[in-house]
Amino acid sequence: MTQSDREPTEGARRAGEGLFAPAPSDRSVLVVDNVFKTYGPVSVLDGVSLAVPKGAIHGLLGKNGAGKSTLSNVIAGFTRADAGSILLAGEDVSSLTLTARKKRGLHLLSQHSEIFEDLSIGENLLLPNLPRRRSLIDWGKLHRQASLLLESHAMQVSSRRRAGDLNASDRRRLAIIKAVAGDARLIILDEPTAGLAARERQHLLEWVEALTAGGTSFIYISHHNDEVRQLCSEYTVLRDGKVAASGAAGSLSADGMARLITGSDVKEFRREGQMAPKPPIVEISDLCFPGGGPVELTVGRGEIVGLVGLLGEGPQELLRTLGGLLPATSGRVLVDGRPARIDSPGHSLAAGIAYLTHDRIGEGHVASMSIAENLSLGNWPRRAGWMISRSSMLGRMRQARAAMDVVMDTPDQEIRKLSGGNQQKILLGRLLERNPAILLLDEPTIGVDVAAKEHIHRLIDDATRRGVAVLLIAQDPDEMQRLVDRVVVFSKGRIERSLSAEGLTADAIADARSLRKPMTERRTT
Amino acid sequence: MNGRKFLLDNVVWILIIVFSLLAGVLNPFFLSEGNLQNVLVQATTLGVLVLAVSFTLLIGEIDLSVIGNLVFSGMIGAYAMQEYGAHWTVAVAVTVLTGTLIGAVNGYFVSYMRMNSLIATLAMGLFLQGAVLGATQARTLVIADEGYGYIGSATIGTWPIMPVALFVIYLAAHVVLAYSAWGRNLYATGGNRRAAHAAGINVRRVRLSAFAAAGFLAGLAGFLYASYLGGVSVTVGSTTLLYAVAAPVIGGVSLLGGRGRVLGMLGGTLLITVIQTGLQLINVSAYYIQMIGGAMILLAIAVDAFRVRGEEQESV
Repeated sequence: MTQSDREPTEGARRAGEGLFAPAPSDRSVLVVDNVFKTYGPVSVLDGVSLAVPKGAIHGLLGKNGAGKSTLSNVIAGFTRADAGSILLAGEDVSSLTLTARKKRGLHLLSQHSEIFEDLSIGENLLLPNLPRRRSLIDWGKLHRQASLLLESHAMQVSSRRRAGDLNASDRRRLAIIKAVAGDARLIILDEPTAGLAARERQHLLEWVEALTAGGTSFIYISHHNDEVRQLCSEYTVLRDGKVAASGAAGSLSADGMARLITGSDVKEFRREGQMAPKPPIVEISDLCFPGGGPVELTVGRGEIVGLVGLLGEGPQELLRTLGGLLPATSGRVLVDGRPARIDSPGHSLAAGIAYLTHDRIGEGHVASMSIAENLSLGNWPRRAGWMISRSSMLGRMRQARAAMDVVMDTPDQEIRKLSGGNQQKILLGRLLERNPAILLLDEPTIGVDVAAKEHIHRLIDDATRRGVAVLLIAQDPDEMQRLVDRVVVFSKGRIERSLSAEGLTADAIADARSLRKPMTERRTT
Repeated sequence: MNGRKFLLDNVVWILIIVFSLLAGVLNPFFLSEGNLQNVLVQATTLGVLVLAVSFTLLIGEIDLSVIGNLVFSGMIGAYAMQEYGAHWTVAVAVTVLTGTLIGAVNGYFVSYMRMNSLIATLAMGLFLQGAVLGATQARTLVIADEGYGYIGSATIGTWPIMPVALFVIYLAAHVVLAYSAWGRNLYATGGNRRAAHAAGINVRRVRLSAFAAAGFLAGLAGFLYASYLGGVSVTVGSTTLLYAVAAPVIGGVSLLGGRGRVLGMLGGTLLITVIQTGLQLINVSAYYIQMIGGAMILLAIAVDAFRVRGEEQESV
């Protein structure tokens, strides 16, 4: 920001051929020029260009599946673009490996920052180049260097402490300092404030802003439009893999930005409000569990209730407890008036409570088994009591494939060969096969392309029309707003308040999550 | 590409053929009917042990107590006849039941007490073999019962019937692993334990039952071995355990769990038996047999690693 303006040079003109490139100058640390990327038949990046000047923070906006993650991965070198180029300080790095780009100062810090929890903060900062004396690690020097780094970035914590003991926002700071210390030119921050409380978020934002004084540039990805307006000088909005808009961030209103992100022409699924009270099907009373409670919540037949709250504040834990994955310490759950046993997933499923994990790979499917087997996992259609009836299993598969539009070759294919969206449909199908009374959906569209996302929304809505109740967690406030009939807000493991869907906006949900002054209180009748 | 995949998937059988031909050139007797019978008889006990180990490998664990289990349950069966005058059928049932119980104890240790299977079953194996050593004072228990020894010694024409037991057991194992709900639960638990649990499978029970099944098979191997030898001896070759672990891996069973076919387990068993008998027949000095056997197993595993690597690249 302190750079003097110079005339655009030859290199910059060459890079500026992309359609939307906002006339990059040689101050541009990063130039993304006309990048294309397809996964199978799906075009994820469709001619994307952007430029980031030195010391600037560039906001990258878009819905889930708009291409933000793919673009960051292409820039950082996790995947190669099909066409187009990435220039870092004038050098084409498109064909370089991830490590080579890191060496040149290009970093991507994802939400789950790579921290070695069992190593000290000092080691985390200086790896892989720990100071040595005669080939052994020089611990004194290591901690002196690390302390200096921490001090100069306003982080008051001992470098000898275990990194795993840091809280969420300090972990992110640690990852950023590590990158900056390695002479980072450009750091991509993927939702650095996700799951942080309002005050923490503000501190982190100011802290990041201060780093730009040293000349480091950032690409800042966030669902919070207000953060982008506050922090960024310029922005780019991605929609369906294309640059939908770009420009100076200061000139945009909150509404204008939201409209750009959604795009009025996109036919999104929006659930019709279900305001009328419905007969209760699941009654939770006095439920205590690790990390929360007591919780009182009654869910009506066919109702979708959104659970809003920060990470660790209760929503995830409540769903996992009901699903039988965390032990309830006390309380009672009635399904259709009958007490439900929720001490294991098997019992929860038998009681009509079906949990869909947010961790598809770790806890969802068995990658080495076939698609058909994953659909029937834990619920085998049996013959003679102990044999699996292959014909019934394939029958289920045919039905699910038709109902959910699963794109696949054969039912005997391993499920890991499917796209994320199709895998997720199979997991949802597995639960629906059980005819549950209630679905517990923890991020049902995580890592899923736009088309599949809309399809999954529709499947959830269809299920509620058959009387299935739903508890929903979604990080994307917009997604939640389009699906829910009602929202309950968690704080410190308890339900703090309830918001009706009438007039509920995505911003109100985002505000409620970060426990800011709720704008929705004005509406209470 | 597919031809290459087919070759790599069936590399065990190719190695068996190559090695047999090689051994046959060096000593024509290797390819005779008599030696083929010998190979199959040798393969029977090992093959059942290989299945036992494989059941635990499929859930991502390991059972190293199978040899200890084999001699211990064999000894209990022998005592049942010698000391209590039990009918041989009762002795067989006692042998297999003892093996199953030992397996269930292993399973309880691993599944419910969360003990490490490698160490727990290693210790169990030492304990059992030590118990047999102490109880028999290292003497061989002779079993004279004709009924008990029938499977191990009877022939149809010139052909021994022992290999029939091998193929029947493998066929049953194939049906159970490929088509039964319990078998698929083993694969699911080994492939992704958390996902299997979340899908409503009783993972603890499945894990215990895998060890119980391994124990059942070790007990069965105990009976077959005693029937063949006409007695129980504590001096089962210590290398047999290593072969019983190496064979499934050679046959494509993943040490991480969730992957492996019964046909591959059979192939691994036969390859190791062919190598062993082949080396004896081509006049390799007895002092070098173990070394060459080890090298052959290394080669087979290297080919397997190559195969797995190829698959991983495909999935990216």
